[in-house]
Amino acid sequence: MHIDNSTVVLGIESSCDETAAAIVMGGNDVLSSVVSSQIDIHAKFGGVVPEVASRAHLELMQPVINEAIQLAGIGAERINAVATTIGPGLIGALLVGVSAGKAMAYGLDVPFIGVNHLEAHLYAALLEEPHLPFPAVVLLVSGGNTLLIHMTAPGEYSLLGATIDDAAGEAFDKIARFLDIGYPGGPAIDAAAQLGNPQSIEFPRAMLHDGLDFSFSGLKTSVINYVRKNPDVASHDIAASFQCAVVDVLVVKTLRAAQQVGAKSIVLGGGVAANSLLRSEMQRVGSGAGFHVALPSKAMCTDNAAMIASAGWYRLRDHGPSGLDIGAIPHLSLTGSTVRGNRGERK
Amino acid sequence: MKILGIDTSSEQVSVAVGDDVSISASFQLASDRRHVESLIPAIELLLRNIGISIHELSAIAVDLGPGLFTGMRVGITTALTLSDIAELPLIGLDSLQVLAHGIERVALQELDDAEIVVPILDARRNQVYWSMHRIDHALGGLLEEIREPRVGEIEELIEDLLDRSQRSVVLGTGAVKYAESLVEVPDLALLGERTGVQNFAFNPHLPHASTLVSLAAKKYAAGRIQGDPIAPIYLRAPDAEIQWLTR
Ligand SMILES: [Zn+2]
Repeated sequence: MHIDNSTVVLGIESSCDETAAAIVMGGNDVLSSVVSSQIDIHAKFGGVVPEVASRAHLELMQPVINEAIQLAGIGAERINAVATTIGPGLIGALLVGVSAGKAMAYGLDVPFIGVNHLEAHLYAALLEEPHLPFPAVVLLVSGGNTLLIHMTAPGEYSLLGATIDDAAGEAFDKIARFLDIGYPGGPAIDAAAQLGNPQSIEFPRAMLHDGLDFSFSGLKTSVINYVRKNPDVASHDIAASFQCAVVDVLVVKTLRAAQQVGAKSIVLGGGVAANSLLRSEMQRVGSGAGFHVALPSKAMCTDNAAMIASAGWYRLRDHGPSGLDIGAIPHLSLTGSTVRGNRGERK
Repeated sequence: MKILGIDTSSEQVSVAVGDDVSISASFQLASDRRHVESLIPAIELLLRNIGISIHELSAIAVDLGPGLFTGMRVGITTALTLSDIAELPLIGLDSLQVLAHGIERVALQELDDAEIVVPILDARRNQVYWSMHRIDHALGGLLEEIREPRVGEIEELIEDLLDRSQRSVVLGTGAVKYAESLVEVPDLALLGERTGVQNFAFNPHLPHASTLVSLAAKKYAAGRIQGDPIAPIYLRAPDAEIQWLTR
């Protein structure tokens, strides 16, 4: 199959609590991108409940796919390939997307491409900035991941650092729940922090001076201990100081990574990349040090299917389609997929 | 008429193509819950074997559960998507009805003197899914549903059966698992207990796509498929939902 700028890929994403579908042409021309969020459904539980998410995905999947096709202004027969997230994510949630994606590919008689969700986040910045200067260092921060990645070209990357315990987004969620300031945790902390003083409490910056790995569980514990000892301190000040500690570490380590590998660009990705302080600090510090800083729009940072379709286009072009007997892989790692693709170097 | 049947509500993946008179082809995989891996390749192989494409089908039938949640969702999502693309009507049936009607396709001693058929599927956590069907001997053993699918402890089912005091045949993974408890019900026989199950082309204690196709084909032939709700039959709320409601 010839893959070029006119190749239309349907992307499907269902790894967590967003049911999404998108139509992307030629790898980075987004014809449509539909995201149906289940935030309201999970809000009362204070977190994503896997069985509840799986049930919602089943109800939303068909309407979301059809809306994406309709908004793209094409007929289903114009779709040349179907790309779907196969992992990492919640198994029950992934299974709905993979079932729909395979059935679409089989029914339309086009190739199916199983996509690594983490890899797809790396393509999100390219969708908005196709001429991004490489090599780049990508900070991928979400509820499930905190990764520093060295990307030398689309599809060529290696891991530089990762969290050794909690993901940054996980810390945001836990602290937001502890302070009882709203759901989901990231936006709630962000909003509360706007009203607080980030210098009011000096929380620890774990492992700030060594290496490119992260640790957030100590910070989480010290916030909880601080609040127990000082119950009268305003939650805005705690949120602001906590957020400042997380962002400090993320920015310092990203800059260190970029300098170490001689990167031209710094790229943000993942749900936490929508955090306003992280965006402004990364921009300020990164540009100050002479790097091009790519901040994808918030819609492109959070989970969406345009990035899945885009990653699918590159994967199809470089490695060909997946078999229809492929399964969902809930614990798929970023490096696991590059090794199989045989193009990334593993460190 | 050619109907494709998809049944992934149990540990098994089964697919079949046929009409109201006969099944052209069917097979099942003891898939060990690898539903998403096996289903599309199974459909592909089945249709290739009988030399038709999905566009030549008249309708798609799918098992809506109750059963294994993840398995059900693989089958239902696949059926919804395929029927959408190929613009085919979709017929949904519950798993207990499919299981019960599997019995119609074999002559069994157990049936001759029984009054009701009770399909029972294991729902784990000491619970079972069950429904009840009256055998119409005048019509040659046709089944008529007299109790809708429900979920409960095995003790509730036993009470239900004792209250009824009818001669019954039970079948399904739940019937096999709780055979020792069910013995206390008089006039009750486990399917295959006396005759063995060697006469079956498939495991009679699991719902199978070939029975699903026969049932769906009858509905299709009778024109009773419009507005069929195609949604999973869970019968049980997610744990988090139950905890939230009872907090
Ligand atoms: Zn993500």
